[in-house]
Amino acid sequence: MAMITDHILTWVTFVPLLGAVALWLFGRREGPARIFALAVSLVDFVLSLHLWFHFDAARGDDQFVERVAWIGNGQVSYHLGCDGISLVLALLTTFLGPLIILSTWKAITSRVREFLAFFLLLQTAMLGTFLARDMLLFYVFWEAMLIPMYFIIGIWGGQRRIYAAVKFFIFTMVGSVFMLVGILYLFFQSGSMELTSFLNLNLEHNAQLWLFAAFFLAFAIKVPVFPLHTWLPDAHVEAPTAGSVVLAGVLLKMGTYGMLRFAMPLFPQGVAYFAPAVSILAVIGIIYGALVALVQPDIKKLVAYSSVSHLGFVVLGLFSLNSLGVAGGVFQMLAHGLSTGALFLLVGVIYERRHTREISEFGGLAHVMPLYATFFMIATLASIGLPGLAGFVGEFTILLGTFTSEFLPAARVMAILAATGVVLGAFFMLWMVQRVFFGRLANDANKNLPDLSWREVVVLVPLLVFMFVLGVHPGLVLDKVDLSIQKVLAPLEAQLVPHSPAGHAAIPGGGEEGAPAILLVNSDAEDLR
Amino acid sequence: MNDLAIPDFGREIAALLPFLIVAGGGLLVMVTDALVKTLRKDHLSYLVLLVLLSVIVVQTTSGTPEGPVLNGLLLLGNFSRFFTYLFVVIGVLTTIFATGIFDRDGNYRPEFYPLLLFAILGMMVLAAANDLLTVYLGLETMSLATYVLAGGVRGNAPSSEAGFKYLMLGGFSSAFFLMGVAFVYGACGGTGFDQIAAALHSGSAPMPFLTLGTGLMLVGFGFKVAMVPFHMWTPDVYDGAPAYVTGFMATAIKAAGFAILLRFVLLTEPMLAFAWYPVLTVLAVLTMSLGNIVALVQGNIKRMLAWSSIAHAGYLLLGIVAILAPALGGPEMMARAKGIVEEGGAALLFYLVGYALMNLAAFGIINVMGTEPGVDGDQISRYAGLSRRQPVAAATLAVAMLSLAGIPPMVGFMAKFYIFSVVVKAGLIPLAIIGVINSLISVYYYLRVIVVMYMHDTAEDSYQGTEWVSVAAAGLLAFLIIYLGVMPEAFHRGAEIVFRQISF
Amino acid sequence: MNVGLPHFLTVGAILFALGLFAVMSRRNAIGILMGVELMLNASNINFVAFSRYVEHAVDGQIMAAFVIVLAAAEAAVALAIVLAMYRNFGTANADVVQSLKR
Repeated sequence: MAMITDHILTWVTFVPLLGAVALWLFGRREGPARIFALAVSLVDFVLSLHLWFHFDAARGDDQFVERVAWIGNGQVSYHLGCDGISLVLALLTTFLGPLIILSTWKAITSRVREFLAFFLLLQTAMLGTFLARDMLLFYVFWEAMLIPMYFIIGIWGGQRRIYAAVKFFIFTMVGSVFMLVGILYLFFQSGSMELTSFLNLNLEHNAQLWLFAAFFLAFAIKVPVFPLHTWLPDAHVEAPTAGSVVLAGVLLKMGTYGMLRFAMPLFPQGVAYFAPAVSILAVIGIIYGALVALVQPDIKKLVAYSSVSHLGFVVLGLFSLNSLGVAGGVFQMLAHGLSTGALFLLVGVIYERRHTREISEFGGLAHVMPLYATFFMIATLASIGLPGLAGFVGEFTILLGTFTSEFLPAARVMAILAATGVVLGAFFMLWMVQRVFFGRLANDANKNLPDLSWREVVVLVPLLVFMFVLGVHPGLVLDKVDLSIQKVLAPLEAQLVPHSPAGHAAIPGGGEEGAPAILLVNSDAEDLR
Repeated sequence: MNDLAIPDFGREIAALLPFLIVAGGGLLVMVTDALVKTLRKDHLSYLVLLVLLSVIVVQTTSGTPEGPVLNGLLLLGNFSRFFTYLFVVIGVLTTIFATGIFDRDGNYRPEFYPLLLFAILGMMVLAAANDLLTVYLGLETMSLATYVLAGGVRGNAPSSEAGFKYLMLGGFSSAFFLMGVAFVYGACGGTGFDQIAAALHSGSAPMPFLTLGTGLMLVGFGFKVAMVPFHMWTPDVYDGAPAYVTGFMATAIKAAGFAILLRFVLLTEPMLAFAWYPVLTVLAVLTMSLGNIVALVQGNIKRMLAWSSIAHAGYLLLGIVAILAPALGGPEMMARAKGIVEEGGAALLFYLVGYALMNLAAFGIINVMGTEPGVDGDQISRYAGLSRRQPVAAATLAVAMLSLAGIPPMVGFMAKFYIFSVVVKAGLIPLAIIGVINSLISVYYYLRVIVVMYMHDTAEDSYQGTEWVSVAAAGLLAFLIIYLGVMPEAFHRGAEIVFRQISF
Repeated sequence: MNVGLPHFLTVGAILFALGLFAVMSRRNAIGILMGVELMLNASNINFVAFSRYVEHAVDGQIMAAFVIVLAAAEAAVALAIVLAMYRNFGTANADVVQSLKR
């Protein structure tokens, strides 16, 4: 047992990889391979629960740290660590894993073993990305993740899958190669690939701007931030359901995670310089995503564009640069992972039955599939931010953080604009639900559709449960991440000068004599619990 | 060569043993083939493998003497040994691939085996050369053998065309090289590397001759490593030669070319940096960019890999440029230079090894895909659905492609990482950016092969050919590609040690 | 006239240029080969001249001897390959032998 708990992060990260390798042993037997893969992902989830229960939230730093020299004389090391932010994202990943594998039981019928192997590889790459504390290690996982996802979209996807897969691959590469140059520059400056050694560099202003731009581009493409989002709808629409779920649920978060973990703390002056532009892009993304979603005839595409909108919120929250907004951003990552993941699964359910996703093909589904309609409704409500469900906490906190942000110009205007995005979001989602589920059951093809099977219920219920749990008890997550967020943002503190001259009375110590006080004290966040 | 001392016989022979084994082995194979009529043809390959393995054994166990031999004509040490290992391993794999296809098609080329050994001998001489005379001898031994390897497939028109083109441009480049040697010799008063180094340090050598001479020699090396604008032979030759020879040329000749280029660059560093640095920089950029851009539109995988090999020569040249850069930057830069030279050299060596692994894996598969005898699996479109028919071959080729594209966790990524970090360290950030943009472009055409293999359905004309020994050997290479991509350190450190010995 | 190093180098340069021109302009494979030989011999002249005027030693002459031997070997290989090409294509014209362009 000690062997496992001492290297828990390694185990969590690489158990799926081992599973992927072991899948070769199954030959052509698909049934056992499925069960085995499911078991592997469950084991991984159980292992990651160890992290959850042994994580000390009273410390904001990295825990369960593992560090072994890898390249050079320890200049580059195999260094894993887990703070609150990594914890919740890693848990989201391992939590979605078994659900996704279970969801593919009927959907993936060709080359099953290969699919499962690629999926497990993807798990390893994603977990490694969230847990790596060495820049090169991070980059390796970050890029390695492309390979399985590329195959998943390209082999098991829809009509234009190859186009979507290549586009996905190239777009992501475009961003990351420039980040690689940035990493190499930092490596040269500090002589080490350790994240902490990068933090101690005193980079000159100009270098910070360039580096921030290079890093931000890589992450912004991943998120995706408007106008770099064009790969996302293609990838989502063409990917198989499982691919979409993991894409929306986890992969997109790697972008926002990267911003929070690397781009922001490493280059405070870059943040100060670019934050207004970034937040404007985020607001545009929120509204643009909602408007485009409004006119989509295809349910999956609609959900895909809603992701653009929701991730806009996350970015806005992060760049509001106060702990409220950032905490909201992190929370929203989680909430979006649950609700959009569930929505994609639900879209997959109907696609399996009807092989179409056109909204106009449906109508009145609630009559024949009441359970399905209920589940879909809950996921929708969670997605649009109904109080009591997870989405509300994230969006509301982000809006609050933005509204009170001292560093964004016209922060209040932005918050208000973003709030209209919430309204639009509610509108297009509910409108879609109305067209699909209510009204007359006109289309004969829909008259005999079976409702959810027990397997589908098992897949969806955990997601729905957590939407409620996080909605009513957000502290469950916020407690874990609070200190970590403060620690991550600490390097920014000294560098930022508040934008609005007078400061806000609500913010202790803020704004006086230009004294930087970027972090709201906990009291604000605590009000929410 | 001036002070002709009588060398110690025993030491010299011991030092030259690996060379003698390869040379003697080549003759032995040739004679055996001609005289022993009852021998089954594929037994020759065992003899070749025996020769090559005995080189490894002798070199590993006998602690061959280091330092100059034959009155300084050759310099033996870690550097030459490193390359001997590399050439021998490439030779072993080439023998396996070639024999596999001979066996399958029942179509033997007995002259192949001795020529392969002679080419390797030339390369070994080249990597150990310590005198422009031996450089020339090594270069020619290697080239003459390779001309025939590429062009000697009987009754095969593309092969003879490839051989002819390679021969013409090779001879042409040797002439340039030789003219360069003449001028350097005139300027320095000797052809030995030591004499040249001494003349350069004393500053007595006349600059115009040196500039002209080194420039002409660079043209000669440029041909061998396929540097733009001396690359035009590459696509045709890679395309026309049989795949097992192309694999050999793409890896071993490139390695040999860069081995001697590296020696030459270090030898003439201050002078070369002064005269040719800007030209080399521009050519490095052009080489990468042209290679990658033209590779985008190739429908023939051998031509694509030919252009990609040009592009990779560009990345390697980038490393050479980085090594030269400090010499221009004044004393303050020179203070850091030692580190850069060593790291750059180690990065180049690592790259050459990684590049050899991935190209051999790719050509090993291409070699056996063709269905009719004498025709390689060179049409990308006919790889459709390969992952279903031959999962191991497809996975191997996919790993090779991803590695060539520089995606972690493959060795191609680590190789690029080492090169680019040296480039950044030398302060050449724009070059590093051009480099990564290039590797981005390259992703597209490497991915296309994977798309066809994995995402298209088998068509009527899809390749069916296979040969399990070759596929297994290539699969082993794919495993090494990943292994070295994850665990590069031990190897890279070895490369650093190797390099330290030759940096002047 | 006092013949010195510059004169030899000039002859070498002219020979080299002629060889280069031949390689560039000839279409016949044998013509190209002859051009290459000319270029090799140009460097031989340089070697011998440098050996005589700069160094007063035999290095350059040895080099020249090696070049002559290797050039002969190269010519032998070259003729064999040209012959093979002639058999396959029915011509030794370098412009006609272009089956590999795409």
